[in-house]
Amino acid sequence: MPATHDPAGPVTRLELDPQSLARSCHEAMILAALADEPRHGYQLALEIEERSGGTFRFNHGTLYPILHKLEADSFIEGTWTASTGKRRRRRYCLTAAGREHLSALRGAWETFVAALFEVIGRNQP
Amino acid sequence: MSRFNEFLHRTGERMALPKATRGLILVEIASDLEDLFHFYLQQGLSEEDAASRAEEKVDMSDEALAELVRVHSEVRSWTERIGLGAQASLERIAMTLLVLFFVAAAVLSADGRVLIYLTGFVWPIFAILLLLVATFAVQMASFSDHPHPRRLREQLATPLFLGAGSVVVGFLSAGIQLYQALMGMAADPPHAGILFSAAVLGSTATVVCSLLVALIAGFLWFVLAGRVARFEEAVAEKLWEVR
Repeated sequence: MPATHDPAGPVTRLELDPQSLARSCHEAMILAALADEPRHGYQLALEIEERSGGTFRFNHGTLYPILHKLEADSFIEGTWTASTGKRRRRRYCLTAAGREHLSALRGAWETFVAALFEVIGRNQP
Repeated sequence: MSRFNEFLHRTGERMALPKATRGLILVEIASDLEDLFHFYLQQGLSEEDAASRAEEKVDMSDEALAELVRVHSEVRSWTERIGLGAQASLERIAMTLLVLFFVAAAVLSADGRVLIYLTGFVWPIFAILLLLVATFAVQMASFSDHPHPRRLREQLATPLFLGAGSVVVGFLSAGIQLYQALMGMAADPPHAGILFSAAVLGSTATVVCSLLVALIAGFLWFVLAGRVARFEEAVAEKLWEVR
């Protein structure tokens, strides 16, 4: 969670701290990938990889702590579903609080990225 | 025997978490491993390479594992750290003490002497007690509906809130009683001593009642926490069996 996040309120701005930026980035991507439809852990990683054109390659091992934290914060809800061969799989879906959190994260990231480009400038075409 | 059993065993050994929690996480990892394995098979990899790639992709770094343990430690209660066997014994002791308390309270209050110092302020506390018992009964009954373990854990806070509510009501009532006594003493100085004694006895009785209800809430929460932990363990074992 970024330093400016208060569990009682939405994220307002991102701090220039590598750890919180990475976490906030992961959270935003996971929530966005769940915004369309519920997904299993492995589908989430593939969806993010596909949407980013391969730029963001998620190691599943790093996915679990983030997913479980988001679930503990009630931003997503995981349910066990039975699939073929009786195998159980964990499927995650976005909650109403998660949708709000995603919206707040989008706003914070827009501001952050715009400010970053103000500082570093853009490549001339 | 799953092709990933050894990997899962190694990963499980690195998780300093209660058995039930660890089991649920491992079932989730196992499921993702199988999905990834089939995904890599479809990509044209051999079985051996697909299994190896899936394990590589799911392998957790020490940092990720520490973070996962931290997330789950936040939502686990201290009761789960004492072990389910010891907890079950403590629950039985707690329930026995609770029953003994109610029997003793019924016997002592049979002639009405214990209750003479109670004032009308005690009714909200009794209402909280009734709510507490009803909540406990509903939550115990809900186990048979095979609920979502997470929902059960979320409901665990209810007895604690009610217990805290009882303490707040008790002390507020005591404050009001003492304030009323002070006003009475100012208006009727000759009877100040009697008024003050009556207020102290009344407010003390109210606070004692509220603390007893809070204690009962604590006992009931302890019993529920144990049931939820055992329920989670049973769910984890069941998921593991059908994996």
